[in-house]
Amino acid sequence: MKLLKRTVKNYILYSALLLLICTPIYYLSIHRLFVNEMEEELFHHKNNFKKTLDKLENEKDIQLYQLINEEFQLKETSKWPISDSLFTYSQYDSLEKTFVPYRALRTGVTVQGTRYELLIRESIVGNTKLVTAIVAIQTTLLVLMLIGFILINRKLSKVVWDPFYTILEKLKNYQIDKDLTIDLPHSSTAEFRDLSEALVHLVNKSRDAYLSQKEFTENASHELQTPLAIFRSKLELLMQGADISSEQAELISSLLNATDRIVRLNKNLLLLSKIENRQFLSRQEILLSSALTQSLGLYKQMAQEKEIKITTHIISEIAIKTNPSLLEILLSNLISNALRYTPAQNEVRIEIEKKSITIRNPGEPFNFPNKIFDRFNRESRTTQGNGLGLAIVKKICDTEGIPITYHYLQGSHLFSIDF
Amino acid sequence: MKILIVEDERELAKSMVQYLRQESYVCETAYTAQEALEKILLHEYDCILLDITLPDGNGFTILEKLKKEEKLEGVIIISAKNSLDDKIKGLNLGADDYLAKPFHLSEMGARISAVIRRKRFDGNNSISVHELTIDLLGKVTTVNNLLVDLTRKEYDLLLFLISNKNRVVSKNAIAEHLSGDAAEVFDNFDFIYAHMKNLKKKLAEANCPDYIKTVYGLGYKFEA
Repeated sequence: MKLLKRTVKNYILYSALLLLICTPIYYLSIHRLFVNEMEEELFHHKNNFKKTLDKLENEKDIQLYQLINEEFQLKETSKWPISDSLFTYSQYDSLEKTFVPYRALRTGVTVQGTRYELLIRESIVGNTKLVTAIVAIQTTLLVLMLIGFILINRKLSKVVWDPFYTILEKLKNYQIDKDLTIDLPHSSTAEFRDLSEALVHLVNKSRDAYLSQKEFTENASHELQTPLAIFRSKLELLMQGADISSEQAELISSLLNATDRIVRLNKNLLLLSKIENRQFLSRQEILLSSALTQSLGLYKQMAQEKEIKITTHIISEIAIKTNPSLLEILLSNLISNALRYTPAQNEVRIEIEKKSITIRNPGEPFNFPNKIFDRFNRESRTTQGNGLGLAIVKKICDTEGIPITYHYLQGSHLFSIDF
Repeated sequence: MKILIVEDERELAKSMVQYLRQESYVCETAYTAQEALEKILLHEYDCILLDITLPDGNGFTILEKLKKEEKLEGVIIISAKNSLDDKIKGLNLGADDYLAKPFHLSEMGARISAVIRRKRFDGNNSISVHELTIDLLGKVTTVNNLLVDLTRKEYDLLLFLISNKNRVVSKNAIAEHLSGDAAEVFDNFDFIYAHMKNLKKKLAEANCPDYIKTVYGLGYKFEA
């Protein structure tokens, strides 16, 4: 939920709640005030009437008085005494064709010795009218208030929050492996200025750490090449000795195999950091099928030895613009991976169609299919692989911006690349 | 056969010299670019092994100097960088081959022997060991002038062993020489045994003495 929406939503909720609670209270208090005022009026009328009693001399005067003052009703009564009582009642108004509520005061008076029941009444405004008026006024107020909120908020978010959204956008687009530094706006709002400064600091630190780690891998791999060369050469010289026992031969052989593994590992680490450091820059238009044929040439013999058949199905030819070395490494690593995990007397099927290449080979499912592209995640520690082949594949795809997917379907591993 | 090794890592240079001396090569070493330039101007070499990164300069400048002096001996560049750019630059400057560290000494032996043969005989050459002859141009092997029908891998294997004559060549070096990175696919060296078995069988059938000796647990040696 956006910041603006969230604020407005809370405002609306609060206002609605206020409306719900306040309307009845408002209504009741106004009603109460109104009725009180009316009752005072009624008593006032009664006192006034009593003051004029002396002037009413006969029945005729009384009737005249009633005629002039509609709210007065006098009836002769035998009930006596009549105490003052207040009550509300409704009466049909033939003119307005509706029931009109009245508030009335009943009392007893003596006019020239005759006892009368006096009823003084005042009509009260209809409840519904009052409620409607109050709710209407309140709703109008609420709506006006909300429109105000939204307008003010929008204006605020444009002006005040603008640097925040700019910072956010820049952060989203920042790529540690591509961009050098991050350029954040300098806001006049203290909080955003602090945020900008903190973020620039963080980004620079991360970038430094990233760069030094990147350089470290490349430098370390380079520096290892020479001592490895010395080590390997000394082993080969040791091997030349005339009187080597079988135990010694076995030791030397183990050392040679371990050296091979270190050499390969180091080579792949170096390759990985070279790809990361974008040292493969040149671009060339290459026919995918011919690149595939070239890579397959390297593995033809290996496939034969393992009694694995490699079939290629080129449904449509495509040319891609990429770095030739990277493409070769990409294809070779995928083929090598397929050969490694295919049982003997099986088939590796490679298909080029439209803009994609699919390599399919049967084999046992991987234990950690989500981690196959991670570094040093090797399915089985017994194989000679160094756990970097697929990491290199992924790194190439990432830097070249080509998506690669892996599926396990009907007992087969399926790697697809969409160019 | 005179070889100059330009390499600042003394231990590595020592190994290279020791390995090459076992064959009939005469080796000299230079640990700096300055030393290398002096030796190059004074002597003639059949092959120069040139490390690109030297303490007092770049190997490429030596290469340029050689080109200017028209003394382009067979030059093999050695580099720890294994970068394609270096390789292309080196070959463009007139180097004959490129060897990435860490290399097998036997691989180095094979490259040196190939470079020297190319230089000496203008590419039209053959190697003979008694009755065994390999025509390098036609890639044809004969024993007593009779053709031995070898596969490509068997031919490569034989040439690799002869290039490192009288020295033990490890299975590891053979696997890398024959299959490059593709050798990684295998968990063992069984495929080498198969090729070796066939090669030995074919040579024996052609009445060639058994020059290829198996060095138990380590590799093979062409003894002649």
